[in-house]
Amino acid sequence: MRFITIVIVLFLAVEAYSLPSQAKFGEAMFLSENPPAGHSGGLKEHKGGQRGGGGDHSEHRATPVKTVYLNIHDLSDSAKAYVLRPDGSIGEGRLSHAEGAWSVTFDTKPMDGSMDGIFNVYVVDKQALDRTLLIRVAKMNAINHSCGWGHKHKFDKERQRPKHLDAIPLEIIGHDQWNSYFHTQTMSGDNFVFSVLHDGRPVKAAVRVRTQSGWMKMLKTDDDGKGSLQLIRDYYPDKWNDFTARKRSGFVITAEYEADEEGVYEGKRYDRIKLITTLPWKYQPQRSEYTSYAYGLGITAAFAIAGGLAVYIYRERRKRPYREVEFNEKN
Amino acid sequence: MRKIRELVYSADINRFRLYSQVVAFGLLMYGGYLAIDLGANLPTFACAFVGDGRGGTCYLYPLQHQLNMPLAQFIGGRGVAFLTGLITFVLFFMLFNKAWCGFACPLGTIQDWTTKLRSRLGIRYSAYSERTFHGLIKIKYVLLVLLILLSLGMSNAVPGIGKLSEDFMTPYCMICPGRTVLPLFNGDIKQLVVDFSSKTKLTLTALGMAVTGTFFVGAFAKKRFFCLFCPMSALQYIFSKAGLLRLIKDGSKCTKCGNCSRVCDMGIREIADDVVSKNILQDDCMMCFKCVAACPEEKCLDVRFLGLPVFSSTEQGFFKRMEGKVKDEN
Repeated sequence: MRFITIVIVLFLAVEAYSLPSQAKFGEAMFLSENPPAGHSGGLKEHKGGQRGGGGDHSEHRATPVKTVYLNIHDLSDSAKAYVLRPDGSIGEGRLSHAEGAWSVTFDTKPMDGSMDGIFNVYVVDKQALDRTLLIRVAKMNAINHSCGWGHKHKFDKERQRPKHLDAIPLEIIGHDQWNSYFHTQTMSGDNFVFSVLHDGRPVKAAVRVRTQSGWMKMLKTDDDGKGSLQLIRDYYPDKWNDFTARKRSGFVITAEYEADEEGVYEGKRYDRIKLITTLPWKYQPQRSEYTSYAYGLGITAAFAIAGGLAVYIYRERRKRPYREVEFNEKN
Repeated sequence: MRKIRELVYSADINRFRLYSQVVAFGLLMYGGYLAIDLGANLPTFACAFVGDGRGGTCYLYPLQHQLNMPLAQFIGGRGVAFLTGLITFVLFFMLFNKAWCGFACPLGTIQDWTTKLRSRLGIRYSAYSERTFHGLIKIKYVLLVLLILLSLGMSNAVPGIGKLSEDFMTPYCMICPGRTVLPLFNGDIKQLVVDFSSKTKLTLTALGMAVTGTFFVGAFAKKRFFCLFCPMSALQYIFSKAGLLRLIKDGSKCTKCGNCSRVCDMGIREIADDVVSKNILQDDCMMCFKCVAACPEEKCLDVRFLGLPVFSSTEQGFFKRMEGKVKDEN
């Protein structure tokens, strides 16, 4: 019995030592387009479908409502969902628990395209524990776009701009996540820039970025609340046949901010606040990894030269040499 | 009224067409910067791969996207979207009929500019024999059928083959020179690549680059080289009988002098040989109306919009244009 206890203690000690970041950030709450697998949550793999084609997910399929899921199950009763619509208006987010998962459902008005753009979906959960007010925020940018609506907002800077909600205690804003057609444009190798806001103001915060494959990076935002990281390539299929250019790997940015602040929440006193917020996003393989200008221009040049030569030779061969015809007028 | 009509009928249609093409090119390639968007169902090559600047989108692009759905969904909301797109395309097309090709198509305009360059360099143009011509014009129908079947095949299993890979997405666009050439005018060279992400993409993009090389040489040697293979032209011809703009021929006035077919950039011989048909529009016609301008017979060839004559062949117009041409050459 003593031996088993020692083994367990040693195991926990090794775990705590090897995963300091996990210990600091704990199990972060984040939103995803897919329900969590079992009760473990975690990032799920998206297969293709960037422009509405195939796969188990499509960001460009207009639907009357959209549903996004939380990875965890221990929400407090006071948890609330917020929705910030592409036009800057506040929408209704319906938080519900069904089939073993928490989800937020919101209306997207698919037919008229008036809600064309990016929705910000939030879940805010507050709990007072051990004289600390723990505020967890899960944010997600959900794309509501159909190319069939046209791209009338392509020059609308306000509609394009990533938005934030002042009512959210801690929020991450990702920059350059989508192009002017509301198509995802983040690729591996890109420098992903983000900002962290506390009650709408930039804040220095500890940030952890974790990719779907488990790669992790810790960093801090600067005085302007800005941070950036170069997204790593973490997609290495064994065979060429297995490679898909539309493969969308996920990553989650988690920001944490703590401060001494006294107050009372639901009758419980606290003298410190701890805020944790997340923003998941996805990225695709870098285009330059699988495309070649050299081959492209080489093939074009080869066909242009071969075609030009073929026309020249054909014309030369059809030229009739000058020939003088003599008539004998006497005949 | 008679004076105005005489003035129009004697006008230099080629110059008018050149101005129209320049305006259409500017509108379709850069109109987006002026917040102009003519929609995604245009019956002309306003390429979807041109970035923010484009003022509209070629219908073949959404058509291929919309056909990529299970057949059962054609009777649902997505079917309505498909039908709406098709109706919009037909309405746009009916307005100007195949004059979209002659007066608006940016890829056609580039070919015309290439022809002008060849002409300036003093290099003669090529023409197909009648047999070759009639063989080649079938290719555009084959491309149209392939475009439809491949798009449908991505969402609908074919017995023995199954569903096609999503890498066949917009299959025609992958080989269209519009995708590679037109974005260059917006400073975008991203399409000039071979995509090695899959065998399908590799094949399609390599083929696309080969077509691009052939396009430049072809357009240089032969007037409107690519238009003979254009599936948009094939799709348009299906609805051309409903066009509001029409090319009418009065066979009784035709002397079969052959002026009309000689000036035809597409090399259509029926315009001279056919003295029976009234609606003389052929599937390869781009309604440039060079034939009308070159016809010396009074009202033998007529361009009508909703039955009203807008341009007609006249003896006076013919000689006036000839005078102008002689002056230009001198």
